[in-house]
Amino acid sequence: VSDDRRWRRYWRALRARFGRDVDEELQFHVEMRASELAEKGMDPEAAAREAERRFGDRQHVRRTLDKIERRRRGVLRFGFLLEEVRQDIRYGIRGLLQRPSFTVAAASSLALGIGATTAVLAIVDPLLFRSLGVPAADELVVIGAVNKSVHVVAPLVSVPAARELAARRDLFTDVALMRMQIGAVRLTGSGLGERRLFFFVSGRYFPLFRVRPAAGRLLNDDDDRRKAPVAVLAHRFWKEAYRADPMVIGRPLYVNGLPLTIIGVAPPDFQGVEHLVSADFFVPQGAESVVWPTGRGDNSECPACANFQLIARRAGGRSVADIQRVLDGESRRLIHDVPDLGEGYRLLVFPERAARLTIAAASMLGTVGTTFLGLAGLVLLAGSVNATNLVLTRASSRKTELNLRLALGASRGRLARQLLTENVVLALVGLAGGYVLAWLLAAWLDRLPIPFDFPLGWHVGIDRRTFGFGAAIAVGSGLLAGLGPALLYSGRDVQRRLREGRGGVGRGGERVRSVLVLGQVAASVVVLVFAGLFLSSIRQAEAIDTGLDADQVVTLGIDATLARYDRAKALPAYDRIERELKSLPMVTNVSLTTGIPLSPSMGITVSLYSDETVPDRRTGDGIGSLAASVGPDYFATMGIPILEGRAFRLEDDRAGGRVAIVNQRAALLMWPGRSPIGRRFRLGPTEPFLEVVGVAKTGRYILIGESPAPFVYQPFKQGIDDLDAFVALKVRGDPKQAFGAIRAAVDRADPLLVPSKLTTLRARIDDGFNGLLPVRLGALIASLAGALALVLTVVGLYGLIAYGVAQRTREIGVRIALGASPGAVVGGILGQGARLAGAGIVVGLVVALLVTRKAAGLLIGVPTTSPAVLGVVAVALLAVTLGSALLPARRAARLDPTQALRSE
Amino acid sequence: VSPPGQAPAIELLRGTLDLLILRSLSHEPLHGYGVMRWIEEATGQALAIEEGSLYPALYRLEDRGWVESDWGRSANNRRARYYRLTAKGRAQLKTEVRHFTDFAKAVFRALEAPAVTPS
Repeated sequence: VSDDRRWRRYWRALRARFGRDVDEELQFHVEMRASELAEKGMDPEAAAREAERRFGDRQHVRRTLDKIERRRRGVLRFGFLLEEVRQDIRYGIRGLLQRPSFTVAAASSLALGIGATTAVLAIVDPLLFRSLGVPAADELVVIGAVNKSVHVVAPLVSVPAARELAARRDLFTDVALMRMQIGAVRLTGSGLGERRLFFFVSGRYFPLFRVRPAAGRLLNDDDDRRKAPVAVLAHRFWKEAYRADPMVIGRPLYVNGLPLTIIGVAPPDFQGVEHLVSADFFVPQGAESVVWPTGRGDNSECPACANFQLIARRAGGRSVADIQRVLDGESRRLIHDVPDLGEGYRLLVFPERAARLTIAAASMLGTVGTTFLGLAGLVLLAGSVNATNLVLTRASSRKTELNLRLALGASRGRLARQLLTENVVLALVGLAGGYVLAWLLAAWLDRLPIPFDFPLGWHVGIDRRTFGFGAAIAVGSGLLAGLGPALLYSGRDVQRRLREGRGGVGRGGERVRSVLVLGQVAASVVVLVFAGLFLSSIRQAEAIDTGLDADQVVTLGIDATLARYDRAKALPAYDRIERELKSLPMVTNVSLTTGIPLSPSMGITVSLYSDETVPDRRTGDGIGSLAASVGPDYFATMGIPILEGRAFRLEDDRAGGRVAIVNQRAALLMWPGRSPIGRRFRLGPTEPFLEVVGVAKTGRYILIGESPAPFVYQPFKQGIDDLDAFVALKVRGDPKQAFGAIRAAVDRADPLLVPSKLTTLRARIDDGFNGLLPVRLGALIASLAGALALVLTVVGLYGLIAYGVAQRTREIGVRIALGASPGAVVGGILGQGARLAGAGIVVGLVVALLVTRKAAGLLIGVPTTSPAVLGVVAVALLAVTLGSALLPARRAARLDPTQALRSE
Repeated sequence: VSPPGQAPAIELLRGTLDLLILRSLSHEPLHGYGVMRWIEEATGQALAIEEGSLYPALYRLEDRGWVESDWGRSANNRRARYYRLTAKGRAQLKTEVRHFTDFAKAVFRALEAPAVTPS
């Protein structure tokens, strides 16, 4: 600031002088001319007039000259500044190159922090922060439902229920429905096609998002009403399958053999509110019964067909909490008006942003994001502390150089600016390293093999936003790291600084550095506690009894409706497949099932009424449960123990003998303390009674972390009218080796079916979204962050102690000369390290206890106060920090006193 | 500079003033009035130059680095700004002299050519 003021004064003075000079020069000219004319005999007064006339308009000339001068000065001043900045950068780079070890240490500290933070942001930004990219995206909400005893929130609402909600104009300005569906899709008139994901959407879907088509037109209410067999392509699919050909409009797209007319293309990157998957195309919900005559039929009038996701736009002035209150107050009326919604049914409203991964995790998403961003932020903090300490250390060892420059006339502002420039250069080097790191991490994460049949809607990549974020934190941390020393040199008088002599670290400087390292230790403790909690979560989760013997199990989807088979045609086809697979030598068991454990397909929602209850729909006294239909060999294939009674038999499939198997939990809820064998229950207040023939062990059904839930099995051909089936096989040897033979057998049994990809149940459990993947990813990121924080802290503490020892060389020399034993010297220095680390650990543990509580929901089977985790972290950190102090301590103990005393 | 009764002085061609200034400084440093005097003498007072316009020309030449100036003492011991040709200015003078000569020659050749082109 003072620098700038001086500049201004300087320029003002220059300008005044310029004006005087010009006047003098012009005056000289006119006078010379006048005296020449007078010499020639002209009257002096006339001569003066003549000279003035010949010169012309003196004021005009002056103004012209002034203009020329101003321009020249402007160019000069700008060039001057530019030159200074260039000089600063040059000095900065030279300074950094002169101290390569300092530069590498500081830049890599920053790089680790920046890289970790940027990579984590790249992961969570699309899920947490980025706007959906449609107008007024903040108004969008998604609505799901929860049942009384099945605690998983499902995204499922029926069409009639949605119609009720759409009529509430006081709550919503727009309501739209969406259902994901897999179809056998082909682009031309021949061939079998392949399984692709598309969305059935109501007519309000595209208007609700207020988006414009990239080509053609989008779906509307009219398409819905007319049950029009049309499709709107997703932009990505249009590019991939049609190379963005605009002539595609009007051409057919075959879904399950039925031609749909392509009428338009959705805008780029549009995938509704979905982030996990991305659809290939969109079809009117009204056309379901046309597109799918053999499938789930017409959902439009079926209140029990609660299989739609509901998206709505909030009415002005209605908050999400507001709407939730209204829905809670009226849920009884809603249940009454819309029969068979199910008992204990509750609609839940979430802002679109909160439910991005899956609506089931809506309450968790924010916690996940803030937890991991927080961890990355702590690593950044640890890295910045290192950089700051290194810069501070370096500044005090450079004191002589800087003081000399001050004495030689460099302004303090200039010096401060140069120090800041140097640190920004350093930060930019760190940023470059950080980007490489973030890019590698993101690329690796994006390529993780997640067993998933369809294009993921969520990509991890460094885009312009994350790039800018990284740059901002780099420059910020660079400025911060440079601020201390820069302030040191911008205020006080030169004389005193010079008198302080060389090498003198103010005691204040050392205290600042100690506090910073203490904070660093504390930050590491917090990160390590998280890592420890996640790691023991994995161990707990791996030890979870899924109730399955998953190792030799292979699963595949076989939905005969994709080949336009009706039930009469589909069941024989399934029998043929089962027979064909059973004949394979490596296959020991085969079973049909309507759901695969640990996937969203496992079971539909039902309400259980035992033979001892009298159904009363108004009170909703049924027990919410999941149900699936399985073949006789299902329990043997999956390794699910039958604890009482028997498994299904072939003859159970025949109509008439209505039987069921319940799990322990369902038995306990319906007949507490008594044997369920022989007892009867039903799946809804008006459904026929089923007789319990067996009790299966309770396992995990949808999510690995779920709490024990009731579950009911029915014989495959008696159960739910759902042809979207799966085959589960138990094989001998490596399951992957059997994939080819299994695929060939299915093709032999029915060449028209379009089966899904094959996966092993083990992969679903270990790498699946509903299995261990979330906690594995969490543990991985947390451990990476923990490792980084630990390394940075070791480096930070080592640096501090080593520097302290170097500063106190003379003092230590005196003590050794006076007879201090090497052990005492080592002990003293170790003690200093231990005090610092101990204080940091205590602070870290307290903070960890406070913050981990908020993330308790992310952990499986581990309390956040786990003494084992806290203890291990504390002891490990203390050991590691003492280890890092040992090296400089031993060096100090080996000091030669005479040499030490002569130093300085 | 035309005393009353004489033929009107010739207007300067664009850029010619710069050339004349550079030429005037090629022997020795001069102050502004000196430059003016040299031009008058050298051209036999044939050119009409508004004396004031000399200075913007001088400043621009300085801005381009062709001349540089410094305060000195004039013959009658007065403070005056003297202009000196720089090395760059000397090179520029050479180029401009060549350009002007080429230009003048071409115009003369055209003026002496027969009115109708021989076929």
